[in-house]
Amino acid sequence: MTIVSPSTTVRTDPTAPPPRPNRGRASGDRRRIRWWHLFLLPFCFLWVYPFLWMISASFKSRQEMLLGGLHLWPQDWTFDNFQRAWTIGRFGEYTGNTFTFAITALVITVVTASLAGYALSAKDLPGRKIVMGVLVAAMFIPHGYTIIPVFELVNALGLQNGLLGAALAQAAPGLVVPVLLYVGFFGGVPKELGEAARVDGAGYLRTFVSVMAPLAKPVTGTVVLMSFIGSWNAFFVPLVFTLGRPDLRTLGVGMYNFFGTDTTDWTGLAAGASISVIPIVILFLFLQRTFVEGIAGAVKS
Amino acid sequence: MNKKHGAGDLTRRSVLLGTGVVATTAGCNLIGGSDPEPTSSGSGNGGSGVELTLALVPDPPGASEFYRAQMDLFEEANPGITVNVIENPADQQLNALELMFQQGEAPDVFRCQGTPALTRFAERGWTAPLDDLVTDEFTSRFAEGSLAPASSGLHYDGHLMSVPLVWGDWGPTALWMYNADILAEYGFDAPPATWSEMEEMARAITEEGNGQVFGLHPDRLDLMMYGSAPYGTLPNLDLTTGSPHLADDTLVELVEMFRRLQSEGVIIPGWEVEGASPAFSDFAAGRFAMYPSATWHVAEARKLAPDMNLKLAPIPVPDSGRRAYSPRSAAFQPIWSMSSESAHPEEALLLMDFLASIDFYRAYYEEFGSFTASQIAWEDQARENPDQAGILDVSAETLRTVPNPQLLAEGAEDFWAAITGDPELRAIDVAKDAVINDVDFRPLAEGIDQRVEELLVEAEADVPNIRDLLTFEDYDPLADWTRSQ
Repeated sequence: MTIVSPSTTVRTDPTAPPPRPNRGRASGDRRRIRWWHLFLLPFCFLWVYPFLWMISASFKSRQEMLLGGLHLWPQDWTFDNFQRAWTIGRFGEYTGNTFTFAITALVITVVTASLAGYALSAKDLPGRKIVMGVLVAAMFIPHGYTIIPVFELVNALGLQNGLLGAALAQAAPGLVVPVLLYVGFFGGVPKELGEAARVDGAGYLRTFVSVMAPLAKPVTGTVVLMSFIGSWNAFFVPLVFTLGRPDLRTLGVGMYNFFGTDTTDWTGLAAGASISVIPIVILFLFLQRTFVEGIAGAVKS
Repeated sequence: MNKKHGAGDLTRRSVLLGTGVVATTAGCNLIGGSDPEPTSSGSGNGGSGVELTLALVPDPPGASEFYRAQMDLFEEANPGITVNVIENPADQQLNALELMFQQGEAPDVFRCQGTPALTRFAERGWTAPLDDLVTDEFTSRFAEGSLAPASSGLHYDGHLMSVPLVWGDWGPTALWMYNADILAEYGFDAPPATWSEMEEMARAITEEGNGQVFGLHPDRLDLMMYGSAPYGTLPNLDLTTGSPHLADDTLVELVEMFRRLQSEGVIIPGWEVEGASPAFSDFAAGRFAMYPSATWHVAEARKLAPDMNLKLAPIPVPDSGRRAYSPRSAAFQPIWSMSSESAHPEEALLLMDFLASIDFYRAYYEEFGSFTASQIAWEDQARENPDQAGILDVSAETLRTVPNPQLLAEGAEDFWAAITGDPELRAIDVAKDAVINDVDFRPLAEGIDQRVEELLVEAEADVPNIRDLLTFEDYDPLADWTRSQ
């Protein structure tokens, strides 16, 4: 018996290629611009204006940025700000560190959170409620209060002044939300899938790796994006955990080279921010669909 | 079955490949090491000599290159010594230093700015005495008498613990910065000398400016409070009597005048939001005519508006006459300190000497325009620059030495440090609160005075004569104070 959903078409010609799945794209009549789209456009512009202004300011002179008002189009284009961002912000040195730091933190987060989420999704796990309660309570502890014990712990592990120690310190406090996302997702996966895998001879870990983890792609996409953005923009943790190795610092710390005690190099900062936001934008473009699906609860069947 | 991946599909293989590439290229940085790699981009010495670490803040923005160039000069003059520069964000410098000391990786020389910070580090034994630096030649670099332990601001427990960067009067000098063209356009040929003149001019300019030009910006209202009462800002004590005095009639009159101007829309809008738009940029844009300003605003405004008819004058005084001057409570502000844990104290002392050298001071002045601690390095050049000459003239006219209980009142230092460091007692915050929220200043000031009085009573339990210690009967707020022997 074929179940036909409203969005599928019945195939009359068996030799015809199968219809392409409708991936949530609006159909033709839905793509027509409605009048209220025009009404919403100014609001969209207001929403993205600060971002556009940042890009624009990175091509302006300091004088034009501070005195030139709110216009977006630079009168005299300059690339000096990008040159300063590269030298003063040390973007050349810090970009590789930032990738290493962010990806390491990302791997730690995804591996730990997915495994923890899978284990905690089992309703009959002893102490599950206590663990979940502790996790939720931990969400409300400000990072500032935990930085000293975390610092001591990383020191005791001999990982101070290295990006692994910094990545551990960055990933650990950020695990709670990913764990809860995975718990929510795995809790909704039909038990029959796991049982079928066990019938096929898969053990607990194999079931997770071969069945559950691939199913959890939307959540993983969400976690990847959240973790990467958080780590990419991190400031305090990479600063504290690379005190003795300034050559290991990240862009988030480098950005602060534009801040003096009294004055700020705003155009250099704008150029630095424009450069450093590019990887985030690219990652979001790649993962936006899985991100939305993950946040929305994902498709589980 | 051929599976086609869309642009948005991530495969395990691609993720692992990407991770592997990045981790491999920078893998050596993952595991920590205790030996920092030299960050010197300048002349090294092959790693065979002594390595010093200098922890500083990039101030002003862009100073990184300047410091690197200066360290290269130091290395050239001292073969065998390499200086690794560690830059910390300004707001995090002290926290970073504390963690470095706790980690056992203290820098040899570090920027530790301000008396509270120096006291904090010296009390823990982290700063090394610099008395070996003090020779006749070293002393001659600074103004006569400015290195006296009781008034230098650089000493702790009788020992020199810091060397300065900027001129001692750079911070406390209060300027009245005005745009002479705007004043002339609205019919005024001179800046205001008194509060009533200031109010009259501000009202006239704002009224005729039709929302395009305003008369006034209260950026550094605290600087105006200096001239309103004896030592009239922090910590709200009249040093002639040793009593709290924030509710002083003249101070109340000043704040109430600004409150009035604010509620009637005479003051340029937007100033209330800290950091939203720096006063000097609105000033350079010609959006307002005059304001009480700090010294460093002059160069910033000039950079933005090179042709502006910028002028400097003393801050207007009460109509009843000046009651006090801007307070010079110490000869210098401490900046550079040397670590007591340095493995190379002799070489670190050489670096301290370099940071206090006339050549370094001259280079810093020429690069950034700030007056540095040795006047020999810049005074002649400054006199040729109208803006800088204006700062010197106003400073000479409106700055006077005041007693500093932190340095002088033996037994009262802790109390003084406590009330000066208490954010709840900040006079300027209370004043701005009254102005912005349109509330009576006097009750707020009386509340602060009451709190300071309570703290005095508490302190009397340990130091019964604390009020006497905080009273300097020979202090005349209208004259330079010198300690009577």
